[in-house]
Amino acid sequence: MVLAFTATAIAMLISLIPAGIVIARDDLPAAVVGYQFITAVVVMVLVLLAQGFQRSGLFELPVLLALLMFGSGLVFVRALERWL
Amino acid sequence: MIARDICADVLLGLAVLTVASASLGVLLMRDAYDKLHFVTPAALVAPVLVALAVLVQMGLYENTGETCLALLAMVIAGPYLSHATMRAIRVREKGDWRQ
Amino acid sequence: MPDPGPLAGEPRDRKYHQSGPARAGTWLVWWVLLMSLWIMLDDSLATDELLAGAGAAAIAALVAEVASYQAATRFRMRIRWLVPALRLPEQVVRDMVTVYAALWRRLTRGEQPDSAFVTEPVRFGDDTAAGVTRRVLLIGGRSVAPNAFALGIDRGTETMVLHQLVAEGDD
Repeated sequence: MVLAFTATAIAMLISLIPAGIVIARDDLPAAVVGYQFITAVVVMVLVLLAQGFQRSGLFELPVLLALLMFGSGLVFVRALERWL
Repeated sequence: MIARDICADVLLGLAVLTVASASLGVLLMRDAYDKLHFVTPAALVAPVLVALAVLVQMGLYENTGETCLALLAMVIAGPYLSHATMRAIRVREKGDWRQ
Repeated sequence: MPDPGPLAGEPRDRKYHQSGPARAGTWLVWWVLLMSLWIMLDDSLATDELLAGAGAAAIAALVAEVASYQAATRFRMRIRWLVPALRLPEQVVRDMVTVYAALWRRLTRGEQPDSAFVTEPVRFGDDTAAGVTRRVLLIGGRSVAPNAFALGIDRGTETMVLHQLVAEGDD
């Protein structure tokens, strides 16, 4: 069962490749969308790895990242709207 | 025990499918407006599936609570982040989101 | 760069001024929430840990209170406004089918979805705390499901501007 969570995390990391291509190749608004996608998936990956490695201390990082994801996204959005 | 493992595996499999297909959507859609619609499956639906998988596997435990807290933050903030992003892209393109 | 028009978070003519005790109360609420988060994450009731958490929460609560005061943020909730949220899971499932059908058409036939900006009639309301909260909930609720995102509610035309991946209505 532990393996299932770790394998899911690896599969989700591989799934980020198309979003990475968008960031590298497309225009700035599309890159911001790709960034938001990757951030959301990384939160899940961290939860899955914490569960997979059975370390309760690792669960704090995805909680904080989920909270900070909103703020960081808004920073990019504000810059996109006004200055970039 | 086995039923619980199978249930968690199914939920995790669905979460991976959701994220993988959403990632394809982000890549293949025409512009940023259309791409943004595929962030929601990864930011809302897949975390719910992952949280359910953790709940099924671990039961009501401290880790489950922290997982649900992370999920709650994403579920609440996600729609507003999408709204702000869509609006900012429109303002950048047209000068006014109402046009 | 063209005139950006009305932007989010612009300095606004603040008609509402909070008194000192009210601001202190806001700070206290934030401190309680943040301290609770600290204890939950730190998982320790040792004195030095609690003191560190209290200090960090105090600073963060100060920043949050100042930011919300600058934004002239006020909220007043009515419980009945949350009732439509019970339909959101169904809406999410329906929109997931719509969105993934569009992805399937893109993959198999190369067709891009028929996306568009549409408008829906929505009462704008007033600028009281309840009015602002109502609009915030409307926009959030309309942006949950993946097929449509709200850009905002236009005061002049009393319409909500949406972008739909698969357009369901006329602009």
